Amino acid sequence: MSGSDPTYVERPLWRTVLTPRWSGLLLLALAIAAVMSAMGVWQLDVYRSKTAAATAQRVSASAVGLQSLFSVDEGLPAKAVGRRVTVEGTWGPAADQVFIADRLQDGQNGFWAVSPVMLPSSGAVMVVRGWVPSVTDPAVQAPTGPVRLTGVVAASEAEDSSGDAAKGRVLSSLRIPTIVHLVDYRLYDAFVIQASVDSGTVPSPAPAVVPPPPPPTDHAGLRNIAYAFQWWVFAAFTLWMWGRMVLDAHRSQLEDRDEEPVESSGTVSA
Amino acid sequence: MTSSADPATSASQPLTPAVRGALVRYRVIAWVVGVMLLLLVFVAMPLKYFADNPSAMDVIGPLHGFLYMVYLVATFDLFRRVRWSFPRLVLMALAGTIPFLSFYAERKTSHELLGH
Repeated sequence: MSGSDPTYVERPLWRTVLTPRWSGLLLLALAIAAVMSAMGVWQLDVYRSKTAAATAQRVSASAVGLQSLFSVDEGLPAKAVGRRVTVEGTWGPAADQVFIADRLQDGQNGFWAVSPVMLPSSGAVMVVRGWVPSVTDPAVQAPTGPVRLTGVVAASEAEDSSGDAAKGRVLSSLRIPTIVHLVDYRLYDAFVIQASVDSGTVPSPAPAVVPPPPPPTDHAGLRNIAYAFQWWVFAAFTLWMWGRMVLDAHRSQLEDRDEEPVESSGTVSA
Repeated sequence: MTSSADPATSASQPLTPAVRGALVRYRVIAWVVGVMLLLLVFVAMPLKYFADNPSAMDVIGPLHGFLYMVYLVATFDLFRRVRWSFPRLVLMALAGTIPFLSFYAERKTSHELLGH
């Protein structure tokens, strides 16, 4: 560019950046980008709190009859998972009680005792009655007679334990597809983790109450996630714009100098 | 919006193909964003805040946001090619956020550059 004049060394980019105009605009761009980033974080918080509220609403909803959520003929609907339900029926055969191994409770390894409740309409639902330290614990004694209990709907666990069916009544995971082969009646496609027995005989001693698993996340405010990303893209774009404008101005200054002997145009000052 | 129009870009001279292309892109996205903004302000927002029905807002809100990004990119591209003043860029960017103003800005810009 400045080959003709030896004293005319190409001006470095940082000298352009350090002029009051471009330093000032950089500060302005940084300030705007910071505000935009904060707006993005705020929108993300809105999404988080909306989602937390929707998830909490599922847990805090009052208990409804299990049959009102879905029937024994249906698969477990996603909206039923984590809901509090009441189950009314009769405890099934004591021989159909199963145990789920490797269950921690208060840091202690043990078993979940799972017993069927026969429903008046048709079929039965497997109820996680509670935790016992061993399968010979006195609390494993299966209850009998009519019962009304409250609990939380839980889905089958993902791990396949079908190989356990032959090993008797102790299973390695909580799965309806496994248990359905062990009984000769129809089963609901879900478990109810018992919280309390509202009426009927309570065995004494009783298995320890199992805390229900955390409810599935109910995403709410996905729009706010989109807004959050938009704010962050705007912030990046603001800084990028500043960079382009500095480069443009820098280049046009160099061109102006080259052209200076020919024509002095002061109009392109940007 | 009285910009210090560059002599090189005044209406008397024909536009280069690059500037013409940038102008077409700007005009299209300005129109689209203008319509989206009207839908947002006069359809989706009343539905959400008066009728408590956020479904239109859920779609149009983020869509307008992304289209506005495209609008900013197109505006900045045109701004660089015709070497407008910096305040002009800011005004044109803001015009995309105020109902009806983007249509006015688009007409004025086209008029300046095309000269008719």
